[in-house]
Amino acid sequence: MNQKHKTRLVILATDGISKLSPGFEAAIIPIINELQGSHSINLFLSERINLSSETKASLKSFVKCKSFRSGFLAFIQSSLCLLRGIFKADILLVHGITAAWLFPFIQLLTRKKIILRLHGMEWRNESLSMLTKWYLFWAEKIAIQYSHLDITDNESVQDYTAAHYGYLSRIVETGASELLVSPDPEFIRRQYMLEPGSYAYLELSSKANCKLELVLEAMQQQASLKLVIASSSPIASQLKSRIPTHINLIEAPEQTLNQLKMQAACYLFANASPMTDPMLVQAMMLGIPIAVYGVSYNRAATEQKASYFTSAKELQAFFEHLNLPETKASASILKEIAIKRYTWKTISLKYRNVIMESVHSKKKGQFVPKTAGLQYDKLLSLGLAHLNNPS
Amino acid sequence: METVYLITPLVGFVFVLLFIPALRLIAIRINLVDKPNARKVHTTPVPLVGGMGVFFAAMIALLLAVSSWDVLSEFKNMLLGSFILLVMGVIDDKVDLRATLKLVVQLLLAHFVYAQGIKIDSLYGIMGIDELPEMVSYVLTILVITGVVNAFNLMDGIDGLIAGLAIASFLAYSVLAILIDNSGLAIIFLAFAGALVGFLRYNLSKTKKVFMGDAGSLALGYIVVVSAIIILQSGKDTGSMGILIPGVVGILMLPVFDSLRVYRRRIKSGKSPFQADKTHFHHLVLQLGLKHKWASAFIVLIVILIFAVGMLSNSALGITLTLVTLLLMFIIISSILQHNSNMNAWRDKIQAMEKGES
Repeated sequence: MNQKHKTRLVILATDGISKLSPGFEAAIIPIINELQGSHSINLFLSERINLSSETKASLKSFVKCKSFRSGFLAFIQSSLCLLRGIFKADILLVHGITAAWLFPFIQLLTRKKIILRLHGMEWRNESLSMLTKWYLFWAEKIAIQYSHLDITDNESVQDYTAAHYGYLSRIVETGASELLVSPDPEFIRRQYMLEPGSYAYLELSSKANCKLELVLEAMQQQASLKLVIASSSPIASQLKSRIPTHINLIEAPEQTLNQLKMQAACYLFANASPMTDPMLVQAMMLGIPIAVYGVSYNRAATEQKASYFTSAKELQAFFEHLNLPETKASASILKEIAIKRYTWKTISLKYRNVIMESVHSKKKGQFVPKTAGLQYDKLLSLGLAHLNNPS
Repeated sequence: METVYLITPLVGFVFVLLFIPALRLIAIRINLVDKPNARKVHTTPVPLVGGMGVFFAAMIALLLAVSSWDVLSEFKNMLLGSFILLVMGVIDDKVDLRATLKLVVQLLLAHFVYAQGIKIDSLYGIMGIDELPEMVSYVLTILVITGVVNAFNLMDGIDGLIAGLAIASFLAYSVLAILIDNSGLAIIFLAFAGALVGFLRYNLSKTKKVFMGDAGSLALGYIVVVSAIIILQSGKDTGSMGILIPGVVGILMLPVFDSLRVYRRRIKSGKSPFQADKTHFHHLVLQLGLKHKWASAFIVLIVILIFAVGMLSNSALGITLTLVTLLLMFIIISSILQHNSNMNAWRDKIQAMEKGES
């Protein structure tokens, strides 16, 4: 298709006040691959993410954006990127809400379509200052209200946006790639003196929401499994002070971690971030038993089919039932779910559908009925008490 | 005359330190205490004698300060009215009087001061309006007096707040009173301010705590609003209205507009405007994570800021624009606090949703 007749898509994947979500970070290349034929793509990308020269060549334009520690500078940058993007776009796919203050002006003054890719509830990050949280809480409302479509990767976040704002977010999942390597038992014996199937594997993806102490407490109460804690990023060493010295703490490249993952007796996911974590998704594809921290986001991501724990006791029970047929059956079901929902082919098609839908979308409508704001007494007087809105 | 401005508050301070311990013991014996419940923060019964201690200490300081009764005779109606409210408040603290009865007494006292010539008979050029017709003046005076008295009562929600607000009000008013050369008023304000500082020592104490009680908050609210009207009437011909009006309004703005804001929210939610809840200004400030005494200090600082802005901006903006500026300040501050409160409420809801408890 001639570049001139392609719909102009601008993807804003910069680090705003909150860093890019790992889910969207991983989705950028599949989205570009899926849409490059039909869309003229302009990409604003965080400097933390590397693109191959082939991918860059398929773009109309590519802008590398600095990743700032200062929230104020990140705010300025995100806003400037969005302003630049307006002039290059028919459709704007915006990750995060940092520059959301511009959305009302874009809707009012232009015909550009805005697709918002939500990044959890950014304002809940306790490391942020009060002023920043206030801004993000307000920005979230503006972003959802003034975008033409908004996307989240998790049904639990969708429930939240529906309850809070009365708008229905689209679900476009977070993807992961299946591991296409064969297990190498000799490698882990040689490298780490571990026998396949003799350890539980815990992968760290976030400092803030990691229920590490729960896992450590549960491991202390059992002797059949060792614990391996791993990360491909500096997070592992940042959490070193919380981890006893006898626990295997491994910071290694992805290929090494993949070998450890594949040959573990079970995979532990102990994060409570408001999203679908790509690490959890990839673990589901392994087909090994998984114990997941029982917060609503993780339950939604695993369709309630995993083993869940919210206490050390529940995790201990999981270890005790590890070899039962039900546990192994659950592992197979999780793999099926992952292959059905979380492959890049499926996800990039969903992005395509959302972007196509946005072309014809008008101002977003709330799905909340007009009677929702009425008190029970008023409904009773109108003969509509059967609607019985919870106040 | 300047020495009396220093000694009067000191005398009030000393006498309150003498009165309150004695009143405290009596209150415990006769069960004149505030009992804890689900909505309140304290966990043990607290004597409700702060208002009485402050009032009596201030009166003694006043009587010792003035050379003759004539200085105070101009204000006897205000002091008598506040004493009646004090007595009613003590009875209410003990036996819980009906709301309508309390309102009737307030209306009668408002009518009483109007009949004595203390009234809002002019808007002093606000929105271009000066003298008011008598009926409008009457209704406005009654509304303002009962409104402010109740607004002050509603502000008595956390330790140190009502006393802090009253101290700020009286000190600000004493500056205005000195400005218009009304030394009698200035001495009254300083007497109460000194007594209130002494009261704070007990109100913020962990072991010897006392509360103001409805007795104190109603009486103080009455003095604050009636003296505001007196200040404006006294200052009419002094050419200082440009400072007096923003000063008076700046002090009263927070309690009054907070009450109006809360009533509006409750009516909008379909609830009774008088239904107790946790949406007042001080509740919103507590949601910032401050302890009671720091929350009170923060609120008093806001009042002082509004007062200062009012005093300083009038010469540049004129009366009407200054008042609009003060109102905007209040709206912005309360909107930010409400925003923070909403954020906290959603944080709690999300935690419940995460656990599957919604």
